[in-house]
Amino acid sequence: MKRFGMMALALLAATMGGGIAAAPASAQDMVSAEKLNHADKDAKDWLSYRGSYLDYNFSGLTQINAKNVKNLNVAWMHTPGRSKWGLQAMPLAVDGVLYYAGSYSRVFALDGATGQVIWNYFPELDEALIAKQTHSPDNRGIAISRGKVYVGTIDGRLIALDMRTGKKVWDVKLVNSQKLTIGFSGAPLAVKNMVIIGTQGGEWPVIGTIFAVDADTGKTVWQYHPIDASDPKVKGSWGNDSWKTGGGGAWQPGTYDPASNTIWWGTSNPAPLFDWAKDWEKDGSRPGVNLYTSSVLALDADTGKLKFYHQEIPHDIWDFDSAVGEFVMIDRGGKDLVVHPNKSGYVFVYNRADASIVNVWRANENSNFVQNIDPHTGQLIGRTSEAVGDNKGICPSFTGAIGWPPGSYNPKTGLYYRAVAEACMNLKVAKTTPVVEPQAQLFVGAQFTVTGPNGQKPFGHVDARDPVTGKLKFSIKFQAPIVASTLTTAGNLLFVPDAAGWLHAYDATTGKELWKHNDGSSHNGGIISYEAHGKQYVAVVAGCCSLSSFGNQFTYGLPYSAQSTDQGELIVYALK
Amino acid sequence: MRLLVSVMLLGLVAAPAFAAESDAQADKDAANIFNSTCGWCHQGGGRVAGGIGPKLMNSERDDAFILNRIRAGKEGKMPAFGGSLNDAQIQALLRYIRNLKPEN
Ligand code: HEC
Repeated sequence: MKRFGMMALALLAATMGGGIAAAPASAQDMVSAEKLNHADKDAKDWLSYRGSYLDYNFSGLTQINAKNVKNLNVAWMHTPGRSKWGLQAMPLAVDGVLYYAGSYSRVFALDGATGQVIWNYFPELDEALIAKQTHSPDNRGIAISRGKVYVGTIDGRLIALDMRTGKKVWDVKLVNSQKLTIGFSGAPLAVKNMVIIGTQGGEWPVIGTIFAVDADTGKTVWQYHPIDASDPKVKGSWGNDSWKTGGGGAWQPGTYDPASNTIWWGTSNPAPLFDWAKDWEKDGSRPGVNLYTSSVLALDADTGKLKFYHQEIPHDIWDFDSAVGEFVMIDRGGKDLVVHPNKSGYVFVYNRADASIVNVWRANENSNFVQNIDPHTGQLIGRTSEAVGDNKGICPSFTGAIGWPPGSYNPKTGLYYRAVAEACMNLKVAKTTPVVEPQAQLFVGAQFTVTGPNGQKPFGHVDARDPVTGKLKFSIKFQAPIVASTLTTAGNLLFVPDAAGWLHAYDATTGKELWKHNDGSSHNGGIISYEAHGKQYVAVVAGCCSLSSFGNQFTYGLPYSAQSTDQGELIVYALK
Repeated sequence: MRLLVSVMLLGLVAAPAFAAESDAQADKDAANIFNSTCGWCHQGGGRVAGGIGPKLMNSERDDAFILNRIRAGKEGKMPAFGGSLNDAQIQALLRYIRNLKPEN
């Protein structure tokens, strides 16, 4: 099978002649689809956004472990520059080379053992457009397959680079960001011979898209609109033609299940974020359940056709989109499950076959937007509504009990580690009309303030739980919510990069702190582990701030108030 | 005396009735734009710091600074609105900011 694949590739390369800046077959074989399908067995590399398609954020390496982690030290550092709004990247590692993208989609390939730059690529972006876009040009990740590195840009492009040289292979414009404002901030996902990427946001009065493009040519293979009004079921779920400005971005990568050839992808909240309906099925700014926003979708990888879905938050009026959150693939008692945390703090456990509900459990303590979500059906029980004017003390806050930086699952401990925020919000809802010309503007629909629960300041915790039942093993509290991903390893370790600047290592079984080191700035992105020349490394990005941590400077004083908002660093650790 | 002044003032500003009306409309627009767009970063309708942007109520910045910040934005921090909002809207946003009062 593998041989056949290689032959087919060689043939393909031969028949394509000098078409594209043709990388030879050998380069295309670097990180094949086959390799990606089994990335979970390859402990030395970190091949996709969350490590492998299992979405574990887990490293099988054991050189650094609970016994010796106290000897962990900085091995090397790298400064990408222009880190506006901090550094939010998730690096990847292949054969001892570390790849990552900083803000403005600046891509680097670095020797994983020394940090020596192998190549860099700084795309020329539409700077005038970027100055008008809402989010800064942060970039959260890249994908690698078939000898190429793929990176999205905030001005609506997807670019492929030769992973050995950094030379551009193709550069395609997928989104009219000049009109729609949205572009790409999230990581792409490499699947088979395609690259999948979703557009930003749910807070603009436009409609999101998930694109699948040919990995070798950049040509679009299929597109999926989460709000596809040609489907009567979708159109009928938006009163007054509100689908036209309904949002439905798909800004974080999902994952791929090779066994069923299914792409699992989450969609954002609908726009406007907040609502004033007395009876949300009939009135308000977007009457109806608003398909397929705040939903988990299962798409056929080859066609982009929807196989099945579950709408986690029908008629979402809290900005609890389903775009965030890993799809943790768990096999339990002969059943194939998917665990997906939602921004609302509820964690959905699905059957992989049809997204039917196996269980729903809650990760956060402070919650009142619904009484509960039915653990058997996934239905919202006792949902609250919003009215024009003041709506106070809604928990959690739209900033999310669960954030987009992924949590992690350790198959050795059987525990799922998740950063959780405890915060609430006061809303002053207003009837607003969207600005769509000449360029779409944010479509929020309320003034708001974020508060802590019960008169406290917002705070965070990282919990270790059974991913299926939600049973708590241990919990570690933090002054400010964690806004970076966590990493767990076969060395019985849990790494937590916190918002104050400390990188902590804990015993993954007990939660006991074993080591910490100050990276000098808040952590707002990824953390991975990989091997280079037989040695294990841990790489983390630091640099303030993401949307959800920017307010820390006003809330907690030092060190948050002194954190620079336009610097970032990649810091790589190894044993002394 | 007070009455006289206000009558005089009224006489002055009331003359172009159309302008007054469109100002009122622009003020409504400004509140709409703020609720829809600016409030994402400036919390409490601009009354408190805490989100992404600073507090705007009681700003010590002069009008030119505020108008310029809205038009040109600030790299990596605040988007430039000069291309998407017209002058009347930006002037109305300035008035909105100047008229901000604390809430209970
Ligand atoms: C994406 C977030 C964001 C949005 C949207 C946004 N702002 Fe800002 N704004 C900021 C930030 C951050 C600053 C502080 C910039 C700095 O560091 O000087 C700021 C500064 C300002 C200032 C200057 C305040 C001072 O004292 O320096 C004004 C006035 C202002 N914004 C008005 C607005 C208006 C009006 C809108 C809507 C049309 C808006 N902003 C939308 C983030 C935002």
